[in-house]
Amino acid sequence: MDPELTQATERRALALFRADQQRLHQHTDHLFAGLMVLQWLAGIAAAFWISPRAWAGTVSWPHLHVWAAVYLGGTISLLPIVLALVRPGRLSTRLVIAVGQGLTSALLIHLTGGRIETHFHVFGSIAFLSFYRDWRVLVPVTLVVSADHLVRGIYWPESVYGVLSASGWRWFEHTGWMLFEDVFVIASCRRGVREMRSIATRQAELETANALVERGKLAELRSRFVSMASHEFRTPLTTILAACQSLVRYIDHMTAEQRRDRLAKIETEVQHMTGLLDDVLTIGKADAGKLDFEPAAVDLKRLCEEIVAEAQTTAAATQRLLFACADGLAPVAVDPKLVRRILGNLLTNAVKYSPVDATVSCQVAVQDGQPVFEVRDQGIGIPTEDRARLFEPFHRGTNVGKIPGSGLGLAITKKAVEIHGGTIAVESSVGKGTTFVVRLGCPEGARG
Amino acid sequence: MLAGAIWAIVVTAGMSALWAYASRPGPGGQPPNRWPDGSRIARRPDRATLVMLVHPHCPCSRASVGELASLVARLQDRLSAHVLLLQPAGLPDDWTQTDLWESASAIPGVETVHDPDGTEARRFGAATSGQVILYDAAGRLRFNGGITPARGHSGDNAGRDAILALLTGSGEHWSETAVFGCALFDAEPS
Repeated sequence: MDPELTQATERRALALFRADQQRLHQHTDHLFAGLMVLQWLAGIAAAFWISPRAWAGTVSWPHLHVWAAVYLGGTISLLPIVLALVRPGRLSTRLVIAVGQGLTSALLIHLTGGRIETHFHVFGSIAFLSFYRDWRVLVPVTLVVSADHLVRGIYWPESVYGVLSASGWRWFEHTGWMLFEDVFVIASCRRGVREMRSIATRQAELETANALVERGKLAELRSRFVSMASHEFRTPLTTILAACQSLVRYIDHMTAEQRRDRLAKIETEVQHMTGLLDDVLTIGKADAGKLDFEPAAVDLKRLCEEIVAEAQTTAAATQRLLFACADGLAPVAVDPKLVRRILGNLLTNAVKYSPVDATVSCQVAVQDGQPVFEVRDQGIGIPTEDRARLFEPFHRGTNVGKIPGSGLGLAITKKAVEIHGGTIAVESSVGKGTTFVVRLGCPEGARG
Repeated sequence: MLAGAIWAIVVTAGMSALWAYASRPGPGGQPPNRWPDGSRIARRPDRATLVMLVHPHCPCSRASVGELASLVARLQDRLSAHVLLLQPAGLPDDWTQTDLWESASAIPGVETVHDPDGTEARRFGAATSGQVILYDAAGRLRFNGGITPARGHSGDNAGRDAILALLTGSGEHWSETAVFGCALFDAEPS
């Protein structure tokens, strides 16, 4: 691969990885915000259940543990929750959350009287923090829980005539178990990060490959456009030039009819080129999603009769155009300009690709409120290998020979059908003919 | 940063206050050096006798009763253990029948009795719930104190270790530790 492309792919992979990581961190921050609330409530419940009141004889008062659970537990949870909601995804947020989780463990262990079962909260916290896939968050939680034991041992040692108890070694044992879990969790975090990087790299490579394919398609499209434009414009320009040169040289010697003939040719070719430019602009607007769509209630039979009459003019005397449409059809909501394009293109193609004396039939109906057009010809047909690309701009069948065409007619037809929410289907047999069936939908707000 | 610093200071202060409370012993009491006459607790002449005084509603004493169970299990034939639950005058029996009563009663080999009006507690000079007093077979005081490391916390503690050492012959002849629990009696008016 091109080195510049490789670097671009790597930069894209890094951007995707960081975006995924940020989403993961933010989501985990929000999870912990919820967990902190639950833990705070659990601490209050534990205090009320285990040590609700302190006593001296017959006199009692609320136990300090209740106040600690409410106020100290609330304070411990407050900053992590605020940061998770206000600054999710930041390193400082998850470090504060880790500290808060360690302090919550220490508080819960204290409120429950040092129960072994409550110590599991420490190991569960380390496991939950691994969701971040960031080994750095394990450092504060391990330090906080270890410090809780160590500081107690230093500032509130239990002594018998000044001799420390075995609680010093117990601190070492607790810390050792936490470090044991940390080792495996860190390894898991690093593997998780590697997997995320790998997924990001694959996605970036896929995007690059797709871009290259699109670039290739674009190049091919450009090539086809240039090929079409040079052929479709050269022919009429040649005709225009010949007519103009003949007028320039021989106008004084021409009869009025001969002059009118030359001028008519120029007019025809200019109109042809104008039509071609119009098609190019139309397909450009359709691709950009800016094709105008103005549905209105239309007398479908009358509209189609006009379109067929125009096509008959093109067909001249060489092909027969048969039109069938039931009387009394209710008005339907369609864009008449686009319907002219659709039916006009299909009829033009049918006439153009049919031999002399062939019949082209056009049937129009309304089924379930939807207009349906069927155009059938006895022309050259469409080879199977061309079917997949039939509606691509500038594509022409491999069997068109010298029959002129821009390759835009069916592309515009399909866009016009799609904008109506409709479908277009084709059946064809080489050498026998082709049938197009168009069904237009009923766009919302455009009913007749 | 400032908010974080304030938070850290407040939390540290709160945790320190909590631990300071947990490590603050209850009021001290001084039992007699010899087994008190008139006690309704029967002392056996062939083994040490242990008496634990408990306030039935003291949450910190759950840990003390738990540690007692552990001690009794390890010193089965060397110890006669008794748990006395305070029953202040004028209060019914069910005031004493708490989870502490049930826990103590469930320890095999331990006698659990009411202490009406705290008579025995005063006789043994106890002032704090969870206080343990140990007399040897000859009726001499050998241990006075608590068998938990902090209020409501079970786990390694000097009191338990001292009693074990005493009764297995490897320890000092006399030990005393702090007692962590509620006061057995109403505060004296000042």
